[in-house]
Amino acid sequence: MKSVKRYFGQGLGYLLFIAFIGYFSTEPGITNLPADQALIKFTFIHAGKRLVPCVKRSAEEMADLPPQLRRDMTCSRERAPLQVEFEIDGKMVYQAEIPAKGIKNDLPSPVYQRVNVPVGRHHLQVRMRDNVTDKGFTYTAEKAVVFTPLQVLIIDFDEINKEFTFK
Amino acid sequence: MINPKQHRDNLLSRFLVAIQHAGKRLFQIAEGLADTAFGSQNNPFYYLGGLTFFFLIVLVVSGFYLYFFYEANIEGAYASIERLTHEQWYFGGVMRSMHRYVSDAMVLTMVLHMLRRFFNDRYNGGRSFSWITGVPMLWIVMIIGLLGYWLVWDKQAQFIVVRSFEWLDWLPIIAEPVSRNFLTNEDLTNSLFRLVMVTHLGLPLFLLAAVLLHTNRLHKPKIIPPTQLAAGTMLALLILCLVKPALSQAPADLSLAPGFVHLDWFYLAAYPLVIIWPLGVVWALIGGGTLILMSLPWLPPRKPDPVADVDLASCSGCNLCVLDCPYEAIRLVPRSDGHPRYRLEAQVSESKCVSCGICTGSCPLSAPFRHTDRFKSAIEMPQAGVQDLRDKILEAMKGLSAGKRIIIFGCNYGIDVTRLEHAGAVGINLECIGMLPASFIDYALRQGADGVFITGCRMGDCYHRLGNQFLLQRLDGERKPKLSRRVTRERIGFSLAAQADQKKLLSELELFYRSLPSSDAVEDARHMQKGHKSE
Repeated sequence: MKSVKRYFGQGLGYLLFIAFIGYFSTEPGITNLPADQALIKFTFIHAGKRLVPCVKRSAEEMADLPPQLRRDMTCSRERAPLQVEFEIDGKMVYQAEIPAKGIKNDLPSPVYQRVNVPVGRHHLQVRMRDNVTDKGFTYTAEKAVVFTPLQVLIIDFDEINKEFTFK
Repeated sequence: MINPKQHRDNLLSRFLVAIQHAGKRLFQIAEGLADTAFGSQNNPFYYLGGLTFFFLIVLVVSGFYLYFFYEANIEGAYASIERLTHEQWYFGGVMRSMHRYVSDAMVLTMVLHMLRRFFNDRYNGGRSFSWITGVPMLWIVMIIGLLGYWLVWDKQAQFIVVRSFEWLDWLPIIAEPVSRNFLTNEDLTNSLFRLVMVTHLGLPLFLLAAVLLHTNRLHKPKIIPPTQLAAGTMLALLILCLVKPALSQAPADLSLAPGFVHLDWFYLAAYPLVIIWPLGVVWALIGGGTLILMSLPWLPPRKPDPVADVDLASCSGCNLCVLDCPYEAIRLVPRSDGHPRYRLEAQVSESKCVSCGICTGSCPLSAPFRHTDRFKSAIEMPQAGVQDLRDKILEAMKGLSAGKRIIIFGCNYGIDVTRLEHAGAVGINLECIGMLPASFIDYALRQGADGVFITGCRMGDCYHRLGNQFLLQRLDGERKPKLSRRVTRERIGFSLAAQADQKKLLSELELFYRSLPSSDAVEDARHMQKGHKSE
């Protein structure tokens, strides 16, 4: 009788063990994105203009340099932060100043922003300024998009054509 | 009080002790139930580390089978696993399910193993090495698991990849967001899948090496569970594989975000926080948690006990203490005193010794009947030597009045035997019951005790790993130094019990007390013995 009880206890122990594993290996699920929404990823990498423009060296300055360092232009490393704005249907959803990466602030500035939108038609506007001299924005773009459930739209910046892309 | 020998009187100490006390009680209840069902030889709680290693082996074996059918490319990843799952459900599907559930079981036993070590205060001092080598293994297991889920390339994989890199990108050391490599389906490459697969296959080798390191300072580590427990666990998991086979979710598609995702909580418990909390806060929680775990052995700093001391004049280099040290803290080295007869001497490693005193119990010179001016064992704890133990026995005998007289030996981590209320019994606590030399039982009986009752941690769960097992073997004559044959076993009671088992212990003590012959009978027997001797 005692061994029957022991086997029953063992069976119960193993049952609890696999029930715990079986359940928590898939449940409870979570909602990553509600089914009535779409996702915009506003992301690009762009290097701001140099904070101090490059200057041509004079002949005297060139002569003072060792031969291997004689380049005719001298440039500061630090780059301007990006001014970025993103509007959906006229409402600002993202506005930021993105500093240049790197210890010397000499690397491109990265932007990566997730924005959820309800499905349906929306008017998108993006703007970016990459220098400290302009008053307005250097690059702007806008587009009307009809979003379907769970659709992912990528707003990127094409460095070759120097324009925002929507894909 | 979990560790009475160390001073822990500040707020942090009290907080830790309160948590440990509560957790220990919970574990003891579960372990007690498991002891009843499985027996101490197969109690899964006593083999959590061993089960984890066993699951790792099963993972490697099942993983190799899956590897032969897996196609590490964008098109083939999802499709090959689907084919294996459905077209070869009777074996390939079962192997896939087994691979998954065993990996979950491994996380479960790892976490329980860690919690149990913490609640039982078995992670500091000489044990801190095992603790700090164990914490990074959690990270390695998590990374292996996440890479494994990536290979399935379903919606859960997409969720993991995108969210993981977004989480990683928060770190300021990342110059360009890694997440930008997973924006569209066109960004993916076949070589990426091959890289992930190779990493998923290679990291377990690091894990195996880490296990070796983790158990490096342990004598006879329990890295393989008993056959019955291993078989039972595998059978249970096999049933789970058949009842609820592991299935893929919808295929990954970077142009469509995962909506509702079924999560494996053993690996992805932090991911809901990645969605709802600022990423920096999640990093603080996970990173800070890891740092706290790593530094726990020193939180708060404790004053270590003196380590075992070798009396070179007495040590013969017999090797018994080396064989019995559960932490491999003793080794034999060439003698430093040029002894004419003995070539070797015992040497104690200060960093490995946890001051358990088991070596005292194993030393043949821990014999109280010796006539010597300076009664000392060849190896003993400076704070609890054999002279001290002999004095305690004599003191205890003075406190026992007429009637049946019992001396109880207990340990600092089981039930406090000095507080047991039983007429005719006096308790003596030791650091570990394994430090009780068998000859001291004989000594106590010869000093007038009618019985010796021994308790300590539950079998299989000794605070100092093997102390209770070694003492029992010495009493049974299976381990040196053995109990003298002149001692009748009826006069020795043995009941291993955790702090939660006080009622059980008291009832067994009462049974033992009743089973002893009455004092009058004992006295008569003594007189008869003396009579026989004089004749």
